[in-house]
Amino acid sequence: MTESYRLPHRSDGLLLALFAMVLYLLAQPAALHDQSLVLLGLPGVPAPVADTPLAALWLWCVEGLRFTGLGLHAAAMTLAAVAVAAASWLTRASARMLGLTRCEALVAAAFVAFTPAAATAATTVHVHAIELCIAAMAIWLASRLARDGRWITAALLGLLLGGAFVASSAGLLLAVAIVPFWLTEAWPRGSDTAIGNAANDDAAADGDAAALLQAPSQTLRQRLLPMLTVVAIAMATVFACQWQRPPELVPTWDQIVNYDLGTLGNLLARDAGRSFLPLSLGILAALWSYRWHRRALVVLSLVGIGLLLGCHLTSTLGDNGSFLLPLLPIASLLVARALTRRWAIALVLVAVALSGTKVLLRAEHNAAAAFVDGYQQIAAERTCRIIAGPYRDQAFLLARLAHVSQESVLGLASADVTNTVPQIVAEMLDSVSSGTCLLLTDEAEQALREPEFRVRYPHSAALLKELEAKFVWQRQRAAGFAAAELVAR
Amino acid sequence: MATMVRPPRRLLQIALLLTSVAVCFAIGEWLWRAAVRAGQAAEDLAFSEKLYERVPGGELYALKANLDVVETFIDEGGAPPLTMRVRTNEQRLRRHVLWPPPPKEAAVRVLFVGDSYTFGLLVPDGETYAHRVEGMLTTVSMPVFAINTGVPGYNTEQQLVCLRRWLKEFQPDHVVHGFVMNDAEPPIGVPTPLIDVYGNASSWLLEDGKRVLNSLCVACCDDHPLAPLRRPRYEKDYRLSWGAGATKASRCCDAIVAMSDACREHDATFLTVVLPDFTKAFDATYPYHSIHAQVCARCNQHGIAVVDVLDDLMGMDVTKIRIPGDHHPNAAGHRLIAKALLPTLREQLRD
Repeated sequence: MTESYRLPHRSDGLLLALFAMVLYLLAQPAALHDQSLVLLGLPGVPAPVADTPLAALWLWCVEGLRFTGLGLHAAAMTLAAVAVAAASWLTRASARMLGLTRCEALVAAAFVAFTPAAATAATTVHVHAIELCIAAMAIWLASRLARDGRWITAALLGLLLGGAFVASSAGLLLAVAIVPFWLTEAWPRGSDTAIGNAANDDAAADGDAAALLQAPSQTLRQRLLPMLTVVAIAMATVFACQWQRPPELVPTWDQIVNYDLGTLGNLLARDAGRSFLPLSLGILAALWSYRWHRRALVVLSLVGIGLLLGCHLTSTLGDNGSFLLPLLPIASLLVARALTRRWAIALVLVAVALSGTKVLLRAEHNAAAAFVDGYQQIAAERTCRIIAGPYRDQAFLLARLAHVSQESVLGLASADVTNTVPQIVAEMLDSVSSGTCLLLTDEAEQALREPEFRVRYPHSAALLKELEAKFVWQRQRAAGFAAAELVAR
Repeated sequence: MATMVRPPRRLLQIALLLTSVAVCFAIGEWLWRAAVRAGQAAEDLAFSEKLYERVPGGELYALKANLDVVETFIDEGGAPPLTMRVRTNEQRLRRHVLWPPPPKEAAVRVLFVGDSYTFGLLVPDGETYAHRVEGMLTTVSMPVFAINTGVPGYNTEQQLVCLRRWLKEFQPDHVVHGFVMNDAEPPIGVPTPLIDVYGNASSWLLEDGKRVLNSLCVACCDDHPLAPLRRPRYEKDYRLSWGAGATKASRCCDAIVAMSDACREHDATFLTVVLPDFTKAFDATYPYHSIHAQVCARCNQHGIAVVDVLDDLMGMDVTKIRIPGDHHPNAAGHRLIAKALLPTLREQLRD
């Protein structure tokens, strides 16, 4: 093959990231995460994550993307896809900086892009993708610091870690993970020095070979001081902004000792094992390698800490490994180096297959399409206003029928609504009398009748009573859409 | 010397491979079907219930004939066990003190079809809503004879099979169908018929292979099933079976329409009585309004007379009209059901 057919070194990572991003955007599931609505500022089940500074930043980015003409759902999905693609690209850059070969660096980037947990984050309306991106950025800075030991890199890393710690629940795990990562990279064991290996690598083409070659000759003070700077700046940032962090994001000691092994074992198997397949198997394989077992042990220890945090954050329920995403770049870099080229590529292919299956299984494309078809049959060109249920209805409406006038039953029944129930119903009566077709979905009705929902949302009983008193309920049902058309009595 | 043209060796190998795979698959499929049928036969033989026995046909099981046993019902929730004296006649029907039915000229025959609500589980003989209706009509000089064919656990499709038989046997003038919320669910406690397990699946082997695939999917990928099974599942939240586009709801409603058609063929009027779920409170939290509405709408669409008993019971304290621990309607509940359906039935009798 002639040289003219080879891609420039930095383009392969970019192409991979772009390819992954296109796949994420094509998959765009209709289903939402439990916390998506509240993160978007819509009526939803309250969640502490919505009060974090990261959620505010995320929403600000989503709103920013909406200026390009995207809908709310599409903007949030695009942001998630871009963030994970960027994380993949940053991982590739980190890998090259640590002296991995071009193929190994691509494999590491592919693991970040196509591990099921990452693919799920990239196709979910949530802050998980941003957390992964921040983690990849921190790893990139830490790799740079391990290489050049510059104060400016240390300051940036310290600020990023401190900010991440304050801004999100994942920041704590990231802060804990960075130090051992940096230690293993800055003091590589025996001949596995990534920095030393760089000389015989085509990393020289990036123009960084001189700096890489200098690295082993750094003194203890030269190596240690930048990391101490990182820690100091990170702590300063944390203390400066501590008041912004919701305290419930970190488990107390009592809570940790009360987790039973059954719950943690389940989380370990489902969230750490299954959601990161086949990468999790790769880490286990690395444990048996003399050269890599120390780093594999470090990663596994971090997974243990992540599990405790995740167990607390998800109320022991787990969340497809989302709380372990900050460790993904570190794990990918390890597995890309520990496995042979064939095995690594085979695992990447398995990861692509598993991710695709997982995303499509959760996407609910068919149900959403049936919902839209059913709505269109019932609406039949009329102007409609939908009172939607709090779960699938709202997801499908947001993803597929954003242009339709809609209200969430959850918002109407909440205690903090400005209008009283009679006012809300009077306004509905007005809109019906002006020719609007008012549809109360089955899911919304179920919610209004659900005893737990009635307790949690105090206006729901009164709202249901008013709706029954003021309207005749004409049941409509077509394809995947079931609702009662409310006609004024 | 003439040379023979031979097909390429590779092509032959592929053809041989495909043929062997097809033959192995066919043999495997045949063996698997035989094994499944044998398993089903073994389950049928092992079926042993104090009150029921397996019967051929779509009913799957029926009450035993000439029963007179005291059955104890143990509540899984820990309530004290309840006992009931179960008595059936030679036709496997709930005991009627005046059995057999008098000639048609002497009393109008009203046949009640349904499940445990109609049968009157844990309610003494003569206290079920079927017998209450008979008593109420007789007191207003409308002599009727109630034939209670309710069997606990039957769904609408089983009731249809039964009804076709009883229509021929008893020639009733009126049929009252007691619909309850779990009537769209598959029967439990008996082996699922193979037709329901495999439907129109061309391969039973592949259909059962889905379970292996789904288990693999759970282990490696996600909790959502990769390949949904055809085997119907008993949903404890009945609304799931009545969602938009649900197959079970559609089959159930089709069975009600088929019952009405069967009655028309035998010159009997047909009335569907929608009985509410007595395990739920009859207030604003009652969850099955949409099921009631769907059944009523489907009946109205086909010109079937329908009575929704929920309208009469709404606002009542359900704990006073159901059996504690078991949650079937008690004698007072049956009396209320009878009262609710009486006006419509009386109109039908007059017509």
